[in-house]
Amino acid sequence: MTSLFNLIRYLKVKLVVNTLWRWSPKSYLRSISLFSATESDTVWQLIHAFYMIENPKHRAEIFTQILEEDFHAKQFEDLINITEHADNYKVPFEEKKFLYSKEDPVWKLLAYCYIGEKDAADKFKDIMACSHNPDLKRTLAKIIHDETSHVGQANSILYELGAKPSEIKIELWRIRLIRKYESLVRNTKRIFEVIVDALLAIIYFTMGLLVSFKAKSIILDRKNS
Amino acid sequence: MKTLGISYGYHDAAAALAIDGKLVACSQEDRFTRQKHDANFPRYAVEYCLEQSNISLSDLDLVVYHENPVEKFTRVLTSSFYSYPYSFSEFKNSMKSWLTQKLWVNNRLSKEFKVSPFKIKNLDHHFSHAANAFIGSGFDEAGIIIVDAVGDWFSTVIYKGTWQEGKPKIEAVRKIKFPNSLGLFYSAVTEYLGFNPNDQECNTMALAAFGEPKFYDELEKLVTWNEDCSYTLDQSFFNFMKFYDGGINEKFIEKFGSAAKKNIFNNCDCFDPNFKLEETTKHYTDMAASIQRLYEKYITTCARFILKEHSTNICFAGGGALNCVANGKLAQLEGITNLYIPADPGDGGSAVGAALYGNFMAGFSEKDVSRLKYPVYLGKGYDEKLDVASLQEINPKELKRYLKNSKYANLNFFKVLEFTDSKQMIDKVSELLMDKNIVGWYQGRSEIGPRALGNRSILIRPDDYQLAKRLSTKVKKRAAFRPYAVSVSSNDADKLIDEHFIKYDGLKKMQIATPVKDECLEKVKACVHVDKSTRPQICDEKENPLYHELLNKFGERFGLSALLNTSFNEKGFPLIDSPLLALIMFVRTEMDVLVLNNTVILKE
Repeated sequence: MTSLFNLIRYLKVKLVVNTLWRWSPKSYLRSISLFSATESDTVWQLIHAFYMIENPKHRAEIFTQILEEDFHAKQFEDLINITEHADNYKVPFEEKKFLYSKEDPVWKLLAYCYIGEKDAADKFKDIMACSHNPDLKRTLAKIIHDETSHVGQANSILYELGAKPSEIKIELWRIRLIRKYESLVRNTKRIFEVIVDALLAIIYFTMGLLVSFKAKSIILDRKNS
Repeated sequence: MKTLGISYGYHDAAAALAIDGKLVACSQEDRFTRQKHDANFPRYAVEYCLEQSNISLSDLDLVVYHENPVEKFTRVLTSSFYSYPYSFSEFKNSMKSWLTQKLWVNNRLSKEFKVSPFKIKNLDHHFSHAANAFIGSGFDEAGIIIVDAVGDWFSTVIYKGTWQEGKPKIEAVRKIKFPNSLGLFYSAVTEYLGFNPNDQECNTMALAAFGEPKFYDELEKLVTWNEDCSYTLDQSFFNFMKFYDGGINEKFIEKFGSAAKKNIFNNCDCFDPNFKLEETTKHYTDMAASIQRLYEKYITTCARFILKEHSTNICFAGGGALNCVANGKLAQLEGITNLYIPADPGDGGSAVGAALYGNFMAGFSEKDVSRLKYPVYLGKGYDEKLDVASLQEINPKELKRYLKNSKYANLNFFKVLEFTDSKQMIDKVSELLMDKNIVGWYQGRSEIGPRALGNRSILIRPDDYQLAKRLSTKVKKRAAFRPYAVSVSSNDADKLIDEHFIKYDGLKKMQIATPVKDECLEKVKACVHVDKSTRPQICDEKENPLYHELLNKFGERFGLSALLNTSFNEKGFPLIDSPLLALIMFVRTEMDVLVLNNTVILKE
């Protein structure tokens, strides 16, 4: 089952990297910006985790991980910043929301980050295998190396924070399911957006002519007043 | 009376809480989310405001949103149909966000805060700015200038503010309608210079000092001035209805030449006294100087109108009031008795206006209006102990990748000095500043607004070009054409700047650029721009006693109680909020010393 998922993911990545990114640089840059935003969000979640932990040793581990994730975000951003009008390609800021509340044990948040790291590393490996862009490959190689070591690090903190192995196992499964569900929602939203775009196009081009006369008269009146 | 003011949806989302006319807490959302100018719902800013005052949502009398979403929606809709049938992408993008979120702001506020919809009130966009400026000024009466790119339907509004039976009466006396907007004109030229409109106007302002206003006459021809300080813009040069596609059009490019290319201003250096401007760059710096001159002319025209018809007290707010060079020109005008610019004159500050005015809407009244002035240190404060303890657990070798091209490539350890007495701490820090260290200075509650006023600041001695350059390249990572500001103790302010300016409250908040006295130029040369001006903060003991003491202690050693002061953040990030963020910046940049309340950390 897992290998089937992996195969589907690989084919999807191959399709995007070899067709969409090749023909649409804008789409490539938006994707890179999205990676940067995801890394930044991990940083933000970890900052929250930092303040939920009291043990200075664990805090120090989170601290170094925050630095690394922020470094990754910056690496992706640098790939965009070399282009003219780079800011046009950056994805808008999403509304932030902590994944877990103050009442939840902190290891659950770390478990979430652990799964996220693992998924990102797998996805980046696939992109690296398909991409012909040397800058991107260089950046990804560094990031994959870090992410892989984070996975081991995060795993050991989970146990040190006092979570039982069975609890961790259940939580990891729960998170995987949530992430699959979130991915499904995202994809559905994309399909829905296409429908919304079509509806808006119909409204714009059918009613627009009438409304535009009124709009023009309002603006002309304001321009000259 | 307890009222919460909220602003969000365009940029600089913020929340502010006022209790019985007193502003008790305020913060921009980006301090918590690390997303500069974050426009999203200010969830964490609200959480902070309530926590700080120890009240719950059910205790609130009113929640006031800073603008009227329906008014704004009609403007957005009208603009997007104006260019029919060439504005589909504009229409699509705006409608998606408006129809799903922005139009239903009141419903969301009601739902999020679990309060009745009747407790949610709206003000007009410019009115919120005006309330922030007028109520916070403590003036009995004033003329209020509000200038920004565009609010609900207006770009500039001039109000007259008075008090009646303990309540503010703010009435519009002049309104300039969108699309006539000098704010948008300024943003369009910012875009022409290769920067982000609505964000990097400060770059245009900084570059103006490098140029001469050679294009002033040509730019002015695009504006038709009327006697009552209103104007019309020749819209054929602009694209204000489709700002997604950029603010300027082909006609503008034909007249003024192609837009600036990326990194063209890299050679502009305000820390190099022998710097020569290249011919290709000069065209653009001249454009910056020209639009700056035009903007200054407009602001002073508005002020003259107020002085003639309404009042000698002037309040100024809106995004336009962030232009400290124009504020400086305003401060030089003859006849002004008082000039007040709020700590956050932009959209973040309109949450303050909404909160303060909300108190009066809920029934509060105040006879002594001077009591309504509010301090600037109303952001969140943290205890640093646990953060420092975790730093001591870190192996500095793990940090090498961030410091490999810096003077700390061989960092061995962090030396932590904990002081119980702030006097000893200040003595140590002033010594470190004299020894040419870059010091991160983090104290108490953070400042509201975009300026670092001595609680979230990076400090260096003010007379060293090389040190300032190192600060720009290795710590702040910002362009060398942007000058730094100076903090000066109230004891020495008259040595640095002309007496005429010192009376203005704006100088306490670093909002007015002023010329530097010749005798002090050498002493503060690292924070003086190429036109020999600076953006001073006069720090008095009452406002910030600890910072005042540091300035004086440093002054004993240096001969002038002044420090170069810049905001505690890296390029692309908002002002830092927590000690953890201060530590992150400290360990990965060339910052030499970090002071977290009474703890001093050094790199060894």
